[in-house]
Amino acid sequence: MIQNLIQYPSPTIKLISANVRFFNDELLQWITDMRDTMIANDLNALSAILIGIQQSIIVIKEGENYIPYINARLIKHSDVQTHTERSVYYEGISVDVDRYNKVTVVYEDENATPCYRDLEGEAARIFQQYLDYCFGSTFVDRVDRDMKQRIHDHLEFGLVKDAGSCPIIFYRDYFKRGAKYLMWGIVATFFVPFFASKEVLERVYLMDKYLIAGVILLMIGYFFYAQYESRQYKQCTSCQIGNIIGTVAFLMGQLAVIALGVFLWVAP
Amino acid sequence: MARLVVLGGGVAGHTAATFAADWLGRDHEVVVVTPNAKWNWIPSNIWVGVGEMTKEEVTFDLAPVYEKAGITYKQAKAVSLNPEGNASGDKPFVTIEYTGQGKAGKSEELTYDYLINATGPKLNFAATPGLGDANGLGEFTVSVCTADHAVHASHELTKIMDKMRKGERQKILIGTGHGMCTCQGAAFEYIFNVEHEIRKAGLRDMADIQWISNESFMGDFGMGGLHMKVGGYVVSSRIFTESLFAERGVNYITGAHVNKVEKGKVSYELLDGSMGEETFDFSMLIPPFAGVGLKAYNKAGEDITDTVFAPNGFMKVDANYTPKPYEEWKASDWPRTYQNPTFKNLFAAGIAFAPPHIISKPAKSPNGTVINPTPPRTGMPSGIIGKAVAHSVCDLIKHGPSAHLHEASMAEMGAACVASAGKGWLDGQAAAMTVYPVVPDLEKYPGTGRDTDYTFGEIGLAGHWIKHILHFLFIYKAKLKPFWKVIPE
Repeated sequence: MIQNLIQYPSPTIKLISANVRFFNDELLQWITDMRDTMIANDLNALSAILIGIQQSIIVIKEGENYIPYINARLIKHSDVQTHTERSVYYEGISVDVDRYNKVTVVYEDENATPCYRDLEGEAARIFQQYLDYCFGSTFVDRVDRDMKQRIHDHLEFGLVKDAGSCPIIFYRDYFKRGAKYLMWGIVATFFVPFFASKEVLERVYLMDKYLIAGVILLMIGYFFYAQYESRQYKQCTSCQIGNIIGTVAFLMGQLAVIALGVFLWVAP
Repeated sequence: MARLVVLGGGVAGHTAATFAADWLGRDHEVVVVTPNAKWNWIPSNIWVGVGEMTKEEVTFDLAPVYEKAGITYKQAKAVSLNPEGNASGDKPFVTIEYTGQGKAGKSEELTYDYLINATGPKLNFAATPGLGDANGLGEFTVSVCTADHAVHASHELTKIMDKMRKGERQKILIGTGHGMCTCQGAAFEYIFNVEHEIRKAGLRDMADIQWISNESFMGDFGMGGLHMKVGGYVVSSRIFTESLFAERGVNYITGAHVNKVEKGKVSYELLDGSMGEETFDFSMLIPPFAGVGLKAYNKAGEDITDTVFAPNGFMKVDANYTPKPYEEWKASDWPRTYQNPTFKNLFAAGIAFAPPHIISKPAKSPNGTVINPTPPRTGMPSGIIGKAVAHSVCDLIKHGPSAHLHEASMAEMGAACVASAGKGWLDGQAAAMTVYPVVPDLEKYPGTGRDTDYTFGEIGLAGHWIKHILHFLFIYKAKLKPFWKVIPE
């Protein structure tokens, strides 16, 4: 059955394919689906992940035959050459990539029989490109930083960072920003005693107390929401709880200094 | 008063003994039997091997630490176990042979109520002709598996760097010395530290550096690979490692079983059955690991080694050792309590326990040669298992045989590893990696068997700082300095 091709910006492409463990009818069906999809899209190779199957299967068209390479590994390589590659995932983009011109690959066929082959030229290049898909990578991971940045800038949503990519802005930061604005507001009232009457000062002092309470509430909100959010994006950093505690402690320290100023200076 | 004997004073043994002594207090006796006089923080041997640290910085004397902890210390190696005692008594005992303390060569029968086998591995240099023999490391290559080996490696590295300075081009070969090695990470660290030192000395253009490994793909690390985060983008450890090697001009051979080492040359077989040779002027090849060769005897003096130990010499524990094909492997095959199924007062921790099977996909060449990494059980898992086993034994001693045994399955345990790629406070680099679980659980995490949120790595200067901080932190902990117990394993 013809399957839909995974295309940019689907993060599925970053998943690392599992080794095929069961050589059964399901595997044969996957291979058939891959072949049908290749024919329908006029492709000469396909990795299973490109149709959403997270299994280490590559099918390469050789003449009229469609050869499955299961759990493939590249064990010998020589003669690096630069090729211009296109990708079914990143449609409309081509980049120059270094690939080995001669490789030896080991793999299993659909009957789990270990096989060994020497590939050369275009066959070697195709194999390497599609093996990268099995390891959660595209040609983007084979180019230098500058080229990667250019591709990133060219793409509508930038490069797909990972299968569960990290947000650019965490919502918890709004709590932090809100607390900072309030604290700046309080600091601004430090100038009031220079020119305001006692009556006005009393109102400002009352307002400052509410603002201090507001900052504390925002910090409490930050502390709990940040932990909730960090559970959604566990992959983004290894020590979010440390960052959260550190941020709260730092802001509370700032608030303590500001509050001291309010009680010693603004209070009528 | 019960006596707990701990065989081995490495990460697992030292952790088990020190926690047990703390929990049991002076009411019971904890004895450590280890042939070494010094404790060695093995991960930092890499830096000794490139001359960036001294042996003294990565080792310390065990005797004063054990004296402080109230642990009886015997500098000796275990030779055999009699878990049923012998004809003259029912008390189980271990026969030890002293290697120091003025009693070298003398034997003693040490009785025990509970025994934790944490001997670590035998560095099986003899498995590869030319890599070494029964006495240890051979003459053609170097090793960083012990602090003394690392000092030797550093001297040999200095020699070839002197040759480079004189204009002699040198070939460096680093990796694994057998098809069934583990600890690819140590070799990975060493090759990049060597490259870093040579580059720092301005000699990089005089060295050809080559990697050789039994992994079927770069970045397998004996764990089937993982993700790495580089510059904010996630890539597989294969792509990351290949890029790192390409960036530093290091060529690589994977899927290789080194089958012979000669002066300046190794011979190897690849997964496709083809044979190859590599020459070298300097080579560090990690040996395969085996059990230390403990024998076991029953009350009648008959050999029951097969009952207590697996064929590779590691101790049988509560794992499922039924041979089965790769597709039937399960996370539940892995041990939870590390208790010997036959003798309930015997436990194993760290490398000393026999794993039920490997972690990476098994592979054989057409000639039938097994070429696949064996499971890593060092570092963090060793410490966690050592502590769990100590906890179980302490509860058994305090509460009797019905006490609950503590569990630390590698299939439910995460591990962190920091692999140095060059030492230097400002120009150093290290890859910090976490995997969860260490042993993939394909039922719980369909696909690769791991929780991708927790299976992660990142490379950079900060990684080097972490590695350096860990060096001081773990030596501090092992010396039992104030608050040592709060430092995690």
